[in-house]
Amino acid sequence: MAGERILVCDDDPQILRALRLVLRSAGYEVLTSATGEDALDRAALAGPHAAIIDLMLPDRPGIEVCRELRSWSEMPIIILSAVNEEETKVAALQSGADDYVTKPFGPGELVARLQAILRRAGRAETEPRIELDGLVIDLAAHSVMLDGEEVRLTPLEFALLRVLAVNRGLLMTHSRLLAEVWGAEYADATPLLRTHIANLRRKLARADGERNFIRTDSGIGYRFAG
Amino acid sequence: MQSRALSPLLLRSPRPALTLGVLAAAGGTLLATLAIYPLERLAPTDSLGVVYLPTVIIVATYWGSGLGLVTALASGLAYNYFHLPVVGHLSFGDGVDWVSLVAFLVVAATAGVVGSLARARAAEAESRRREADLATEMARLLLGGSRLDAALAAAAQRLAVALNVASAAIELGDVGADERRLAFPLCDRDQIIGTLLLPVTLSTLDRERITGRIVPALQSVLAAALHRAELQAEVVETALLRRSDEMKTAVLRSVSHDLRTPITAIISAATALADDTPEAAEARAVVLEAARRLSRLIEKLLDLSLLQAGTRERRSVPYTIEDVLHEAVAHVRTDSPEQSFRVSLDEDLPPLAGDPAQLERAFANLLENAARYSGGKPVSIRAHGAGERLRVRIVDQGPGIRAGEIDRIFLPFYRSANDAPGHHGSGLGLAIARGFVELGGGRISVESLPGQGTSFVVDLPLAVPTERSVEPAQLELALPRG
Repeated sequence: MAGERILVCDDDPQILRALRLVLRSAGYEVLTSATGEDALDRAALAGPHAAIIDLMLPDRPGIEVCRELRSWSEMPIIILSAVNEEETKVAALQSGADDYVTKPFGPGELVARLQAILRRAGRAETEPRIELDGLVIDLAAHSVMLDGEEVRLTPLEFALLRVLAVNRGLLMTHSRLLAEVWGAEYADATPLLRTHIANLRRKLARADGERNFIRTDSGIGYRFAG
Repeated sequence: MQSRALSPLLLRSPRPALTLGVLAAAGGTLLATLAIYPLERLAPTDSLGVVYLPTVIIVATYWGSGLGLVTALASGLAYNYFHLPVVGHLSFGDGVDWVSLVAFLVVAATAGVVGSLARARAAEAESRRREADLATEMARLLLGGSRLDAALAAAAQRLAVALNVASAAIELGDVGADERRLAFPLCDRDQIIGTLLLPVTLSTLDRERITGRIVPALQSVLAAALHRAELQAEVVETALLRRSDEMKTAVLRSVSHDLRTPITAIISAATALADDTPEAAEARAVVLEAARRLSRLIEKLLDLSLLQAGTRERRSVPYTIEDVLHEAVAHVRTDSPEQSFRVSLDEDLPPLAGDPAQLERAFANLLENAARYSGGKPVSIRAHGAGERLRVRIVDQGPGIRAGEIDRIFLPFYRSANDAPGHHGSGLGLAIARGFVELGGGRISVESLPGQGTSFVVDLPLAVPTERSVEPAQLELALPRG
């Protein structure tokens, strides 16, 4: 799956150099830009498979670059941010970004996110069975096994788990989960989602309470560990 | 304005000039005397005395009973002399002579009284109108301007003109009278908010008028003006605070960016380093460990600055303690990889409102602290409802905190004297934890027994139930799609 071209845009030369190293050693081809304008040019000319864009660029806000890119391309976009604030994250996602990573991040985290969004971009539509760290989700048979024991889920819990697991590693916003599981008219019913996530977590918990399959992005959404 | 245009027809105060009255009386009597000659051919002379009446009535009404009576007497005499038999003589033998004279006098007296009554009414109405004008003017001056002190001076000047006195002053607060000035206190709800100062030369009547009419109007306008000034000051203060908040946030953001970016570059580059020799692997591990420690310290310093900057805008979104605790456990960085956390949550915990990201930082710091002292034994986290609050208890089985230290552990940069060498606490974690918990309206306390462990208790306020609540039974009816 490696070999994809990744466009990285950050005005800090050290970040560009470091990310080039990290992404190359993960098997990707890397294009770098230090300004938003240059990034847009390169995106148009070189046709990268995904873009990683810093929020603070010297010539224009990263959010604007993201929005412009999204206006003509479906390529996955990850936003890099040094500001760990919910509004900033929400604004980035609204401008068309698929995910964000807050500095300082470990390169492992960035590569995992990148892999997740590229996997989604090229994913085959039907995946009959998802296996993950002792958890087996059989999508066709609507059954879930944890460490060899069956987990009994309500239809709604199963639908929620399926959306999360199929998009594992990806940030799923509250409204997106609600729209996919309950329908678009439920997009604001966050308390409802919380109740079901809590139930799902309880049913997927192991005795030691250690493993947490469902991660929370405070105030934004959930992602399935993967 | 309209009433002034009509004023020639109205009785106004003061009376018209006396000379004019004498002239009117003389002229009117003369005209009436002359007018009777042609009329004598049409009517008996005895009944023509009425021709004098308009003059008598007009003079008595406009110039008062005195001149009215003189006019009545003059008219009676002129009628008697020129028209009543015997013409050319004053004769009072006949009853008609007396009746006409007395009638003229009675008419004059009555008209005079009616005239002065009407005049008094008009004077009263005029003075009320002036007072109303004055009150309107005061309101315009005191409530219309932007600066209260300038408005007070202008209002005082206008008042001096209206009261026809040399000087007047309106001062804020309680000002006493002196040998030259009288003080009229202006009150708002039993409190003296200002004082009207006027010269001592005022007549008693004027003083009564001021106390009865002007002071009540002036004090309510002044109270409104003061209230308005207070509100304006608050608006200005709020704007200043908001600007200072925006500046603090901007500085913090820029500092965060400048500190986090190079750390990210160090960690990323070090991770990509080849570690094909033991020395290279060791060097890489040292760089990474040091960079991560620096990174943790930077995060803590940024959190602390955020708390100390004290920006006032608080985020409040609904969240569950479950989300927060799971994330805090996932984010906590411990020295020992075997460190375990036992999370036990009561079912159906009530929802909370606030900033879950901040609370997550608070709990991550508490857990990090507990892990540091637990000596590898599990740390337990328990959440349960406690009346109007939600209580989270974090218990470690460490050495405990000495009684003398308990008050100081939440202070920034405080480190326990018990810290074993190799403990790399920054001394900031508990200060940050308390800061974020209290910012969200919660409370944090600690119970500890030396030798047995420590228990941090966090109490959080519940969300006011404003969220759209949906019955679980209904939810299951909404079938999943696809």
